[in-house]
Amino acid sequence: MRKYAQILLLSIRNPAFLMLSLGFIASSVISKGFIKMRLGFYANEMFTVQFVFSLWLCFMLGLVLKRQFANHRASILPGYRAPHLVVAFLVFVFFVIVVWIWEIGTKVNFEISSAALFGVHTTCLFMAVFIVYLGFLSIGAVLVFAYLICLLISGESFAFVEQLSNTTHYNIYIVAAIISLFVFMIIRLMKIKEDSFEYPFLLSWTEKSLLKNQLRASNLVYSFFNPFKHIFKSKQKNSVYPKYPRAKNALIRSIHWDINEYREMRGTWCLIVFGTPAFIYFLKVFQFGNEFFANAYFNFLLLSVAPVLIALGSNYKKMMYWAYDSLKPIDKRTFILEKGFGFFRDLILFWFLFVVYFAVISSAVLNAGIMATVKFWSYLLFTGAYGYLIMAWIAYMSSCLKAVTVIFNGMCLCLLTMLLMQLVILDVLSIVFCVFISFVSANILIRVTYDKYCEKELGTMI
Amino acid sequence: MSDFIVEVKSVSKNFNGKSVLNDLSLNVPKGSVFGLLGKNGSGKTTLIKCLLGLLKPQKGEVVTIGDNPLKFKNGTKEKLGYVPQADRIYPWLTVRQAIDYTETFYTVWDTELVNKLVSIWELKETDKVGMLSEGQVQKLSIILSLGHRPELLVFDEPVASLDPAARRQFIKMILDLVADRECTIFFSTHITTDLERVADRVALLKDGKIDFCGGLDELKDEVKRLRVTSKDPIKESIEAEGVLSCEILNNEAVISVRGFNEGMKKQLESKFNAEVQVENLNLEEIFLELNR
Repeated sequence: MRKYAQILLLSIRNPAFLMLSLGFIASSVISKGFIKMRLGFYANEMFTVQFVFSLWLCFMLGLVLKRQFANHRASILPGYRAPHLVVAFLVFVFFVIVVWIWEIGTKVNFEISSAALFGVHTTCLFMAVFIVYLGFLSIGAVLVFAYLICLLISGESFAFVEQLSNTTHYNIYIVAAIISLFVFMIIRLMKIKEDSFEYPFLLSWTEKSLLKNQLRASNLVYSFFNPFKHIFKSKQKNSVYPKYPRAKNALIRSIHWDINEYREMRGTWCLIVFGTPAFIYFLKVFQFGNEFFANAYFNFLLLSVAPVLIALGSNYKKMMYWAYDSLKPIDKRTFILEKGFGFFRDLILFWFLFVVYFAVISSAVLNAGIMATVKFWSYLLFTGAYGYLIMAWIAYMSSCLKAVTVIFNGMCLCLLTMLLMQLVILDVLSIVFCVFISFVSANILIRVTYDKYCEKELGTMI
Repeated sequence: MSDFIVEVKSVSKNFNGKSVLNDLSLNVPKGSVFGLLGKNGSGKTTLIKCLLGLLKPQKGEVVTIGDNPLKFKNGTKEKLGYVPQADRIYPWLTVRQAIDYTETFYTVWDTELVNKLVSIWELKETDKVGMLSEGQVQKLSIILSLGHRPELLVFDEPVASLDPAARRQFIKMILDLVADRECTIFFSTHITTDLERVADRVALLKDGKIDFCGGLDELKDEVKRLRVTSKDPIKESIEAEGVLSCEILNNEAVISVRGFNEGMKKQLESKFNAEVQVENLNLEEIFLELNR
């Protein structure tokens, strides 16, 4: 029993997991409070909040599980594997029970269908399995998909829950597939060794192992796209790293620092490009998430915030190399400028992809009329401008030394974002004005941040 | 019952077509302090991982503590301790929490030894593992591997991150462990002086095979440096079986030989009409000569 308790404490002591758990339980308690205040609608909304917490809890559970198994201790310590899996599953069951008790306790006012409940729990289970397999930190490109799915489901949790309530038949197959995947994961985790095929996708610790496993994972994924490799074959006969383009402008020089990543992402681009017809077919034929895809105005967070998070996720781990890279024969101010360009260049790229797929294509298929309005396009422009502002603001916060400053700015950013989610009620001129303000504010923040980073001790970023 | 705690028979391991271990055989006697030496990339870590079942060899057989490493029983794991090259213990745990967590997996735990080592190595129990330096994490990793008093301790470059004082303490601790009870130590290292101090048997890994396996004294008797001083200039390079290297300067030649015997000395004396002095080499020099 002591062993199980220690394994449980391993998860609870993880700060992110603890905070999410407390948030989850708090949402259940708050819900009770709403019922007592005769605010049944808000109590109902708490289920959506619980779902979001559950999703991210499973995300964290998957991460902790990965650390436990991508570890020599899994093979060396006696009686290691089964107890860790049992505890992880029991943690999942505990939160399911909490939701069940909450549901019974609030049944007087409204009812959540069992299909919705079951669908929610298996979705969370899927998230844990997904994270275990889709290498957090293994391949930068794949990380994009992991966060994207979690963000998408979080952002549209209410619609997702409603959809689950209405399509019981659809749930059965999805649930069966998820449970099968979960069982498969358990079987593999009981046997996994360092040279197992999926090991490179599990979290690795030391920098050397991380790089080695990134390469292994990349080779596995991109060998799958072997037929397409010939299309994108490099024109260079040898694989010499290209020379730093001193004469070119800062934007082109910034690409040089990330040139290997862009080469690796060719497979991802193939997936996106060749997946487009399938995506259009999916939109036309299936009704799932119709509201989600049809009305771009409801996707403000997806179009403005998600690209920022993905751009940050793709670039943040490179920051640990800034200290070493800055020792190269390059002026520090130029270096910071080019590195900063890297972040914003990726932001533009991801924002463009999100807008094309989740606003332009989806509207063209489901709600073409909206595209004829000036408001639609000005709204899309604003999501880009606001994404730029968010990125600039986060960059500014990263340059601050005081925790209080960061917390205060973070709160302001969240508050502003919540207010701007009501943007749909504004007219075109107001939206354009918001675009202008966003650009100006972002540029001011960027300038301040740039100066601060030029003075910053890069060695503290290691 | 075998006298060997580890038996490796004709093991081969390759990664993406590149051979790392090539038909390698090795036996580690019980109760020995066995050092594994080899160049960077020679396969030391791969061999260690094969011994522990962390990697599966493509060919060959490994028996560790009488068990198949790929299917270790829990009882076997109780007798095994391992310290990898760079361990990553959960960074959000404190030192004490990490010890308590590891303790629960073993039926036997020497709390006194663990507390003594924590004190000697000045680790603060309330410090988070994530805030420790690499050397401190290595110390903690060593402590966690010793707590259950294993019969076989496997270290992969355990002292690489330790400061000289900690290295000394580590060496002393190994000697105490071996003296107190029958504990086999198997470790790989680049620091040949430490190996000379503690190891009684050494294996040299070269080109995926064991180039030498035997007692340290045996190795030192086998590889020698001969200083040949002739009356006349030595014009030709000295080539013969067992010669590892030869440097000639006028009438003096310095050659390193493997498989030294008195007959070799007499042969050189008569061939070059020279005086031959035999010099002993330390382990580092032997390693350099054998890896030319």
